[in-house]
Amino acid sequence: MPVTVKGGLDLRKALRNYAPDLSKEMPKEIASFLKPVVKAARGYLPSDSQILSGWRDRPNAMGKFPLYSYKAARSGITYKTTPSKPNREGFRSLATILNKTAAGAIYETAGRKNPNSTFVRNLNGKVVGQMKGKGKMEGRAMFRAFEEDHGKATDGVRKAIEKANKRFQARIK
Amino acid sequence: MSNLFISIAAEFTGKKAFKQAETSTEKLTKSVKNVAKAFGAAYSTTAVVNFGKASVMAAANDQRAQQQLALALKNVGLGRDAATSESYIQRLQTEFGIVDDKLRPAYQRLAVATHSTYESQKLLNLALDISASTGKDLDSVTSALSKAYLGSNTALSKLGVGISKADLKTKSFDEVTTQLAATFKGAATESANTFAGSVAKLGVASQNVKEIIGVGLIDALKTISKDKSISNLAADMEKLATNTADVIRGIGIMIAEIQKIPGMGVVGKVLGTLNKIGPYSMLADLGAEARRKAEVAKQKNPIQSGTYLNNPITKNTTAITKLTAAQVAQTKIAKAAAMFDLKKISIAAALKGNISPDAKNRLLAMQAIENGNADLAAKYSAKINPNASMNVNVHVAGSVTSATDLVSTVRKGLLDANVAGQQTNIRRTDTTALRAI
Repeated sequence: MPVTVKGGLDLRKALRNYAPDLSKEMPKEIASFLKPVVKAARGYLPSDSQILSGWRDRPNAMGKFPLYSYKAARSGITYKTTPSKPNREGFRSLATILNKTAAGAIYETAGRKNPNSTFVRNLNGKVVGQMKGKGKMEGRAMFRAFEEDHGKATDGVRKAIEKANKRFQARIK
Repeated sequence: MSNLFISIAAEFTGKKAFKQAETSTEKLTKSVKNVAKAFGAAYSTTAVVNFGKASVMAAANDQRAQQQLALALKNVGLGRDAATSESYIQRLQTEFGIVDDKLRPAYQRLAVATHSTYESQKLLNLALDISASTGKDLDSVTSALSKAYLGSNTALSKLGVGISKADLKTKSFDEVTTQLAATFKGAATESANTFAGSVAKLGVASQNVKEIIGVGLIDALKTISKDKSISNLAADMEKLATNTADVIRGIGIMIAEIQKIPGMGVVGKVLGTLNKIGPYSMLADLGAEARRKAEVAKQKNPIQSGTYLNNPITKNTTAITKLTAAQVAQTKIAKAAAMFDLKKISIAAALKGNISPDAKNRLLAMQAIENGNADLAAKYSAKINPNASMNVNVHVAGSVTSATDLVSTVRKGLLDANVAGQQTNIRRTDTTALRAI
């Protein structure tokens, strides 16, 4: 579960208007806590040679099923420090780690619902991937890395926001 | 792009529903302001002209839509239900805030498909619920339902109303509609009770006001134009604009409509009071009378059509009834006044005495004359014996004497007293006068 922050968006606006240096510094500090998770997550992605041959990206593929490309999947795992659009519950994320590509998402979540399907069995047989996390936070790459991070990223982001707020408050006094 | 992400930190900014409610409130405020502006501008001639033109167009379109629906119903054998269907549509319009321009085509489509008023109304209710719940427009929902009624479920499955293709294949239409009714029960009512629903109701009321005023204007134009046509409508409208009285009728109706909307009571009361005073009230009455006559004239029953009002027999009967009532009242007043008439009291007292039949007749004749009863006066006068002297016995201090004897007794007493000398103050000259009695 994400940390719920109050006034984070207003702080961003205030920093942008009254403390531009802090406005640039805060996302950098947040990023410093997210980067290790992203790096670890990318490291859990299999290479093209490790993946199932039929799923591998090839030039003349005709199927609609998204094919796996290590390069694309790797670049698809990233982070974002700008606020997102509000979700159905009315929350806006201030810092996010993403797995953007379809193939990366399939590798990430395959086996959550049907762990004994042929695809999953073959995938597990060929790739030494391990699913970690629970429920909707269960996965092989991004979620695994986040799970193994043990909340350091979450704490770091929270502290980064609090720190920026304190510094801003100190300046305007 | 996949939807896989981890949110590290998040902030609650409020649900979409809150935003929608806020937007709806703003819209409502804007609409109320527009209504107020419309009232303010209603008294300027240009605004009256423009409003009148729009009203006439709205009324004409509404009339055309009504006729189209009536024709369609007649063609499918539901002609006798046309009036019922129209009132049903009006009710839906008021209840759910959906304009009749949308309801009529939907109803027509269902009626053509089902050939049954009951089924059409049932399906239209269901369509309103589905439309309110899913956000799909009423036309597409009724189209899907009418197609499904005729056996084609494809459109219904595309609506996304939570019915699987397997269900659509295996279940009958009745079972499917029952399931849909259970799924979307009360959605339209709930939707109508929201802010957005209030705005929609306001819109419907505004549209209705236009239509009603438009009908009034067309009637007025027909009255003004000798050829009873609306061919030179625009020109007539310009002339009519100077006569604000016709518009006042429309404003009165508008006020009545606004009073129905929750929260608009105060505005409605103020404007309603203005409408009830002075020439406004008189003109409004005139307009209302004309409208009622036109409405009633559409009925075939002569009593309802009001033609009996022109019947001379009825008029005479009414006049006689009124006159009789006036006479009865007058008689009652006369009876009450008689209680204080000394002459009548004397006659009544004399009649209670022991009197001869001739005296009684005389007294009764006098009483009849006093009461103004000519017949009785003549009757008793005829019975009077002209030769008989009036010999009325009266009670005087306990003894009964005739009037002649009474006079004699008084005369004798007075004379005796005078003769006795000092017992009375009557002088001798007066005694002479007494002898003459």
